[in-house]
Amino acid sequence: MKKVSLCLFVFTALLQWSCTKEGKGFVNSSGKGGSLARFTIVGNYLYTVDRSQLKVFDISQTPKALLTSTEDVGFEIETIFPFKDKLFIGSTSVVHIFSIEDPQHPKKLSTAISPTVMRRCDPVVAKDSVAYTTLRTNGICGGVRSILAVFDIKNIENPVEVYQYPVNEPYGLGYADSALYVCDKSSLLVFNISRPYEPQLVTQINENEFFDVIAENNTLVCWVKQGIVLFDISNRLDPKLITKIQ
Amino acid sequence: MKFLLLLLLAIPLCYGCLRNPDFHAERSDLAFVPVYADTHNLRPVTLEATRPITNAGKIYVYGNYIFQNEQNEGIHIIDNSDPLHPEKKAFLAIPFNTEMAIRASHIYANSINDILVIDLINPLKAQVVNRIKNAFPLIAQDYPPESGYFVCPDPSKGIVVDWKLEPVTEAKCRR
Repeated sequence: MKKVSLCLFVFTALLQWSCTKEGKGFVNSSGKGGSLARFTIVGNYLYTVDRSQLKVFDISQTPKALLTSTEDVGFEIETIFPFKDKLFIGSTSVVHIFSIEDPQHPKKLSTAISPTVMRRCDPVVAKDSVAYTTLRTNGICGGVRSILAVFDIKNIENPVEVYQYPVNEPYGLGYADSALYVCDKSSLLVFNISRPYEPQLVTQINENEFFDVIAENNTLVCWVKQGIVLFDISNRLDPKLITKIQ
Repeated sequence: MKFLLLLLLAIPLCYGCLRNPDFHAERSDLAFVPVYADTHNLRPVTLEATRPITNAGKIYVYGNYIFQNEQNEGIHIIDNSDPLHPEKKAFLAIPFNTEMAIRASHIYANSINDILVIDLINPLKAQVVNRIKNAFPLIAQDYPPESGYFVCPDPSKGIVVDWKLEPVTEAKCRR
């Protein structure tokens, strides 16, 4: 009897070990990119966007990368951002939302269009039922003004723009819990998004040209013109400069 | 009716935006000029000593490491195990690289029109373990990143990998 229970114990322990290993591996085995990325990895798949196509590569058997599908997404594709089983693909005019419930074959669910800004829809990040995107207008053919746009995506098949915040020349953006960080070229804007559809600007940091951010644990990694700047975001709404890397 | 009128007005405007064949820039005018790649004499992917970040590109975080692209040249590898003292460890030279993503200690990075798989199990002994040919066409090829006049690319000169603002005497393309 003792033997049996010991065996059982070992078996469960092994099972647990392999589960944790699997689970951990799945969640942690890929890293995190910024909102301006064209490559992203979800689970065992690498998703890439070039100017017009979304490609899926099965990378489960490292170092193999097997193309499993190619989708024509549209024109002027610039960025890709994953959230749970969705991909948000930013183009210069709209945001395309794909389901990757079947990870090998992304399926288009909808297109988010800002009713007032017709050009330069850049990167997008999403969490739960809200998506944030910056729309930058510059150059002679650009639109009227630059904004941070907030989309209600509760109904993922019908995203609705619910809020706009005027900004100067926005690039990438990222979030950590109740804070949204927006690179507005000459400054980093910090918004409180505890009310997700109505971001409140709480502070702005003016010392660099900011292009993109990655919030990872208590560190905010910022791509600036000269390289990287790191902020401590233990207090999400009050980033404290750690150091610069040049 | 109003809409139609607006549309009619908009057509010549749009046309002007797309192309103006009569434009000849003055000698002092700046325009985007294509930078061509010599794809026949590419440098190999190599791990090199750290160097200053000069043309900062996209960022990526993996475990205790931070990666930053040096536009069109490769990737800075930064050890962030001590968050107060991040340290550049090496530079991974990859010709014409702009994108990256990492899984299971392998980095997926573009180079010209290919995707490379680079083993990073020991980041200081990085090596290419796979190359997927023509998997990711270079983005810069057709036109520059900003609107305005530019020197039309000449496909016979090779692949366009970048654009530089330079004084030119003639820039016929525009967008």
